[in-house]
Amino acid sequence: MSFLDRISSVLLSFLLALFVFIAAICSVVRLTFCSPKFMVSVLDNQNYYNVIYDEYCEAIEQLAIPAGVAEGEFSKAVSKAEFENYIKDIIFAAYDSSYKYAGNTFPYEEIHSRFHNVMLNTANNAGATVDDELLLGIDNVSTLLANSAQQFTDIPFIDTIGKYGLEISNYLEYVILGTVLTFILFLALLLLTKKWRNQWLSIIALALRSSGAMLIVAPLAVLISNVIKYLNVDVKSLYLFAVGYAETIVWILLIMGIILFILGTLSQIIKFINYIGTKKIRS
Amino acid sequence: MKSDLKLKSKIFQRLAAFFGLPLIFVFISYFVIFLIFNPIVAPMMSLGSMLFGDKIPTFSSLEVSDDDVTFVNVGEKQDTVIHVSEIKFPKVGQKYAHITIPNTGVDCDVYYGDAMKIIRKGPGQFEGSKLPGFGSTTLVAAHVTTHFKGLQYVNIGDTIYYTTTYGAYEYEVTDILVVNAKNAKVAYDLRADYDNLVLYTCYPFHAVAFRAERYFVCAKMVSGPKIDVVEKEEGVAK
Repeated sequence: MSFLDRISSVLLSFLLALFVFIAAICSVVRLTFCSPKFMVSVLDNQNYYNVIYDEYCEAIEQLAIPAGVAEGEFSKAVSKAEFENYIKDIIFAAYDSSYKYAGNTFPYEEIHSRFHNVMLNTANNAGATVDDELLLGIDNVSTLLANSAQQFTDIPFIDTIGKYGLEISNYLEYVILGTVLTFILFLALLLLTKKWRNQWLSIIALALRSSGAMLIVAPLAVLISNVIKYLNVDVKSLYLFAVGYAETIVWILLIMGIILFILGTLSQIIKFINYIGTKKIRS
Repeated sequence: MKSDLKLKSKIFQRLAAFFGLPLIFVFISYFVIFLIFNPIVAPMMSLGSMLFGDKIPTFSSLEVSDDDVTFVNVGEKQDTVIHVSEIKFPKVGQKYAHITIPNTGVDCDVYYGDAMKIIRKGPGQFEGSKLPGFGSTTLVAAHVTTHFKGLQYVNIGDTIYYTTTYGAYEYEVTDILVVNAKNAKVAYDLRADYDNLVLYTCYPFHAVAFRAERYFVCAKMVSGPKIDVVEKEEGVAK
């Protein structure tokens, strides 16, 4: 094999590696950022639903005593399972183009009347006279509590994330399809061209190892430096979500890179075994 | 020997190609990406500096301490002068006093700080007000449905016992006011030049839901140790 051929095969590998790299990045973004299921699973893994529910209970229970209601009564109005479902509904709605605002899925009126009933029961049990003034007061507190529940079920920027995810989803699919087709086309050309037929496996092996390395280096640097953990978010639940979301994406990239590198190494081994076998037959 | 060296050199070349070429590709591709995104690198860097802090957040929340504290008994250390250096100042969320108003049901520990989390546990002193004995106003809040429910039975002239970790104080109720919550500041003066205690809670007493008014019980100090804030060695006022 001449020097020029070697350079050509290396450049061909680099080109193929870039295609694989782009296709891998687009696939990861398509499967993570553009998927509500991924967000839901990250929240689940990060114990987000429990943390946010505790934060919500802590916030509304601070209003219980001033409102004349026994501690724990407000928390009973919305169960943890319901709260989790409201959050999930909002996430799925954010990725649904038929919803303008995902927060609209939250049953505000129902929650408002639940709090209203809790306080009305307390007033009745205490023997208070239920007049217009008291009802107005109860309504004000119920509004405050329902607003609080709505705030805690909402995820910041979820509408933007969802709509943007939807928008780029189709674009990414085209990019993935385009790069994979080009990769296959190059592969076919290699196999069809007599000069390169014997070299196709080593070119692919180098391309896979290189794309694997491209996917490994940056995520590994991010994980080793632990930079994600330094995210400047004051709210614990939001911090857990953001860090978990980012870390999971980085880990997926890293694992994908390792898999590609292993595939590249295996291809190289197969090529080497073939080479030995051919050499033995010839001798 | 020569063939050995040749073999070693070949193995080295293969290994260098195996690991070296992918690494060269990594540098080239990252450099290409950097060149492509160069125009937005600077804004991204400044955004990054805003998004990331210099330490990992710890989320330490306000701790309300239920640890037992020893208070001075009523009648003890009443008309003495205590030097400020002898006082252990309470931290926010710590118990530091006990309040008793006979025949009203008000009999509970007082915490330092008046955050919602603190007054769920008991009456809390506003940190912006002075501790008893410092010659100004001590402002204490509690919920009307729990610890200060009994304030409705307080009358002008009643005695309030306020025992702290450094001295026992007695106050005499001088005024009772009902003020709209928005104008609550008219009921007390944090810059007063005499020792006084202001207790307040929500009003009216018997209602569910929030109350728009505040019920203030104002009292002047009758007895209790004064706090000497003059520097002992240099004689300079702090």
